[in-house]
Amino acid sequence: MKTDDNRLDKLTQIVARGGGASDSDVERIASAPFFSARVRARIEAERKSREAERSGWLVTLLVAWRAVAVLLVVTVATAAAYWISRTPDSRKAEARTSDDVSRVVAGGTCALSATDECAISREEVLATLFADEGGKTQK
Amino acid sequence: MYLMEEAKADSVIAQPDLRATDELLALAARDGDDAAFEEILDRHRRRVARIIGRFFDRPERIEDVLQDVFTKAYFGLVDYSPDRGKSFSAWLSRVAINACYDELRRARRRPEGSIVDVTSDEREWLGAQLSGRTTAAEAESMLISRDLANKLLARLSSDDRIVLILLDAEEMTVAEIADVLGWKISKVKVRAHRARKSLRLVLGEYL
Repeated sequence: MKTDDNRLDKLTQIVARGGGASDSDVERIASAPFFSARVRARIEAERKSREAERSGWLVTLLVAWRAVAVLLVVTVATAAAYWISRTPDSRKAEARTSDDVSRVVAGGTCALSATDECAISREEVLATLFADEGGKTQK
Repeated sequence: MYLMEEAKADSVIAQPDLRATDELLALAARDGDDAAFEEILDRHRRRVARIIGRFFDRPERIEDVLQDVFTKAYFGLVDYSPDRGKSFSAWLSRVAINACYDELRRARRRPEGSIVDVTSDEREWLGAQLSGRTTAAEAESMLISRDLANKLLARLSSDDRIVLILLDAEEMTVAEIADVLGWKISKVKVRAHRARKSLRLVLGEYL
């Protein structure tokens, strides 16, 4: 059994050594007359392919860079438009906030609105109640 | 031709005070000296072709891989430095073996031969080897083995095949194989063990 194993090992070595091409084929290929020219041509082809690949990347980067620039301009423009359109409203909102009690008492637009800005606080409820009671007392 | 001679006259290989070692030629070729690269081609193409010829039997494939090796070497020269302690010859062998490995993997994805091609003569030859009717030395000298060996090796995975050939045919050490392929030593050992086992299984089908 052990002898068989050894022989099988020898056989695998023979197979590994025996594969491939014959020496004459290898010699013929290595001494081919235009081998050097073929390698040169291949190097040139590879060089061109690499340059094309590199320029392809550059074009992609350029397009990407332009897209980023356009997106940036659009973002800035949108932000500016939003800021400009928002400023007068926010001023009005600030004015309303400073006069919450009177706004609630007087009714006005917030009486019909469900926005956060118009949400009724505890102070506003109390102010309304006091205002009502004050009116009754005066009567 | 004239241009080539002119290039050689300006090249490092024409300078009498410098011994144009492979390393010197490689550095010159790296700096764009075409004649130095031509000299490298002349010096090494036979040796590299022999390495490739261990892995492939078809002449057109050997030629293709040979051109590929020198193309890769040309573009890879920018990474080559003799200061790293590796000879140019060893560096080029490494490029060649890795190119063969890549080609084996590609070939594995599109197999061209089949084990059914094993003839009755070849089966008989294998049986004779195992039964000890011939000595190993005689067996190796037998011409019948080349075709058969290629058919049997084609059954192995590219990893098994490269390790087995480098170990048995190129007679490289495990450490050298690990260095060339960029594998761990343990991986080479495991792969070598598996490769032998796989080949024994393949042989077993015909014995």
